[in-house]
Amino acid sequence: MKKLYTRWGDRVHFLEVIVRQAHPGPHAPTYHTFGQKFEDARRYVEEEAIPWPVLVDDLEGTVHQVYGGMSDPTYLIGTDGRVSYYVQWTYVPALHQAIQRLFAQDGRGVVNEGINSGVHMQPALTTGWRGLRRGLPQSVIDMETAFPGTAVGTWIGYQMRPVLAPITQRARPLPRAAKVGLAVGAVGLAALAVSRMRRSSEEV
Amino acid sequence: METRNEIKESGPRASELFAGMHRRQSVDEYNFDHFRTRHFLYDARATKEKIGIHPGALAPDFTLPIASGGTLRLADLRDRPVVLRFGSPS
Repeated sequence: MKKLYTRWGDRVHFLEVIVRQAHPGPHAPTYHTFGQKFEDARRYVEEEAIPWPVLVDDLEGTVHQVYGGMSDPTYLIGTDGRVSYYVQWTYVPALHQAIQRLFAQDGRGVVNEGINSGVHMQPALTTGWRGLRRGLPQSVIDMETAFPGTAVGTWIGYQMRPVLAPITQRARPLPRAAKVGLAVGAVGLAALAVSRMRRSSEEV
Repeated sequence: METRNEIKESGPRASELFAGMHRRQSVDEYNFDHFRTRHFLYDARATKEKIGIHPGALAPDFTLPIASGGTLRLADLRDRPVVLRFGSPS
């Protein structure tokens, strides 16, 4: 998101609305008052050095719920005040393309069919841990209970971010050639692993 | 410091937006204590069912306090496009 801001921050208003603790824990307790929520939002802005305005919704998440109540949606709104595009998981490459299209059509109107409804979990692989670690240890226990392996997965992804981030955190869509390359690479690695397993089982 | 946000009438009415959408959550349901499988499943289903404000619709206006001070009204930002993200610190 910061990459997107660096690219478009001077031509597009960026806003973030704080909704609720997605992964609560002892150091990131569930909000019970608006004051507590507001304080936590301030801490978040400081710790993550967020350069855009961070707004604090009321305790019930009134604005959030009107907009659908999803965990991590992002709307692109045109200069006519209408929704031009909607990405349910704040998928930055899709947003980047949508912003480009929006400027190509004078800053208004629906772009790229208006909605991206892919379940984009890839960015969370390297950034998920940043949120999850605030709620330690309960956030991880809850996450592992809900979906075994996912919390550990984000921890590993976070440790490997120097290698993975160029792919998972990219601001622009991968060129088709790169996608094909990655797919071929993955198939190659899998084939190599299978042949090694076969060889080692033959040796036994 | 309790505030309630008023959804302004210049956009679609909140009640209209909720028609056909999933029912609204209570304050305790909304601020859950434990992340559960169903929370993710809601998101995945909401993604597939394209729940939310539909493209082409007026973005409901709101005025909210800014964490670093002051307040901001969405409708005041018509000079440029807006990227509006809903997020959580954790």
